Amino acid sequence: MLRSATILAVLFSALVARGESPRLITAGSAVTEIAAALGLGPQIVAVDTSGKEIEGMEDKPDVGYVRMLGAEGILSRNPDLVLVSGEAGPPPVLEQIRAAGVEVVVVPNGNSLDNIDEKIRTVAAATGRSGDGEKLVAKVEADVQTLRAATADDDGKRPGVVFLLARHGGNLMAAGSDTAAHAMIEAIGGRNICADFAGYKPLSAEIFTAATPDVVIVSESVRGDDAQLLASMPGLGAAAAERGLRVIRVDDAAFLGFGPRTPSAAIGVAAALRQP
Amino acid sequence: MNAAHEDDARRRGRVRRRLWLLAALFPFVLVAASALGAVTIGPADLWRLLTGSGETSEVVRAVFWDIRIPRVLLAALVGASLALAGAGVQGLFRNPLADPALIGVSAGAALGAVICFFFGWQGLFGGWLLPIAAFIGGWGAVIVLGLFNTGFAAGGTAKLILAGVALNAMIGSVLGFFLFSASDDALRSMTFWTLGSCASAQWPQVAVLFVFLAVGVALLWRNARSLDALQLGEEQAAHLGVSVSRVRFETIITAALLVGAATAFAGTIGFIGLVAPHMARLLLGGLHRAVLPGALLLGGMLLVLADLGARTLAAPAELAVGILTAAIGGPFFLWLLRRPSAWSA
Repeated sequence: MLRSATILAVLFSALVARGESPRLITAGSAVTEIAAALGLGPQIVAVDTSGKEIEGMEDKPDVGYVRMLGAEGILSRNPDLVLVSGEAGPPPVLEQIRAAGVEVVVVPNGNSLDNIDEKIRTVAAATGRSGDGEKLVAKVEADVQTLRAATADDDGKRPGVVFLLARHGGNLMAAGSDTAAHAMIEAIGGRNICADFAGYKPLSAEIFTAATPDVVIVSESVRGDDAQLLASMPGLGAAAAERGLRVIRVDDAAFLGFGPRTPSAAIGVAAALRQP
Repeated sequence: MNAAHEDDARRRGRVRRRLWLLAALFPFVLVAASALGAVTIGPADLWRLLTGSGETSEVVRAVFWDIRIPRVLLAALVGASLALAGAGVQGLFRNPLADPALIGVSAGAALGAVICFFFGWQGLFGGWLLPIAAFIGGWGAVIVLGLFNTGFAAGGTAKLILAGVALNAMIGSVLGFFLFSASDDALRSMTFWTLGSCASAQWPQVAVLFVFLAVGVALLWRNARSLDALQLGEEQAAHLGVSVSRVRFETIITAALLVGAATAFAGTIGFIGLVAPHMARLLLGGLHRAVLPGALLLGGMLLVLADLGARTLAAPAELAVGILTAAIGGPFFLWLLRRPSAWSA
């Protein structure tokens, strides 16, 4: 880690020596978010599709979906440094970009609040912003501490949560274990009632026969008011309102992105989860 | 009698002219596609790159020689392979709706690739495990089909087609199992693989696919007359001295070779294997000595143009090439169909 940081620092000083601020392309929402938080916005010449949702990046050219990047498209924006998240690809495309003499830095993935520091430090080292990086790391760590303190007084009675993601066509998908949503449910002191399957599965009546949720967490972008949403859920129907089932809406880019905004977004959701 | 002979000669002349026209158009399409891309390379730079004279920037050189040219060539080879396999399989089954997918090779290749993604093996052996797994999957499916049809012996074409349908359904259910059990991450990789793309093109792949296509061309060419005879029916072809089992065996093996290799490098790309041979037949008539090279040229050009669209229309982003093969090929095909002389070339 330290060695790669040194290499990156040397690389960066080479860029500085050329008397330019490096032109950046970022792909992966956490990576773009970190770069923007480090004040690199003006140097970013293109972002991937997920990056367009981040404040200040709306007008940047779009290099497409992070898993379906094109080498020539990226090189056409004339970048000095390409920062991508771990899922970026296809891998041969990243190799082609490197072969053309443009540095590609892969920021490690990880669905854990503990990985955010490493992501920030990687981006900061690659862009020569280590000072700003440490400030951001300190803020993120403070937020994580606040979250842990707020969720520490559970006494084992964690509210049952189901997290629903809206896929195209309006189908709701429930988040099982091995998902970003599962990690966040745990982090805010909830219990994922869908933990017995991995990945995202279409919402079905079966899910609620095994366990009943106390709280439903959905993306802000899901249409309809809470009552409509609950009524549309198979196996829950009218009974939901009687049991006092609550709906919490989250900004999923912030809540599930495992970027610098995630801990503070989680603090808000954790507080909502604990409301009587 | 004499008039009929003259008519025949005139028709052959026309077919030959059209074939030469397609052959002349092919390099033109290749050059045009190589000149265009997200990175603008002016005529002066192009000249320098092609002749090796003078200086160009390192990035421009890499974009042209290491990214764009292999990609254009891979698209041409993949399109040509799929179309040639389609022409062979349609001739063999005497069925205009036959598709190389019918013999299970595309589904088998998809299964090989999906298993690779499922276990996260796609990066192993410098990224070569993925195409090798897809190729083995495609071959595995064809071998299973052969075992159930006693090595593709003569007789029972309907049985072969039905066995192909059953095999496709079985592979589909195994595929479904892997898709259902896959992690979110693997699932996305699988989805993009099945959409097809030439974006990962590299020189070694171009070389490998070129060898496969050369072998495929040789195998099908020597069966071209037999495929013509087969159009009269299997029994009649046998009376004319055609070894139907051999034609069938070699055509299916060739299709598996071509589609397996093309799919291994570019993912599943539909439409070309079905429609390019039809285009060739509409333009050149039904004889396989014209249809096979015609399909090869048309399929190659179609995919080069579709891939040109995929890498330039939304630049700097990529589009899925599958969207564009149908968008470019579909209207051209309909235009061919509506010409009054469509079936009398």
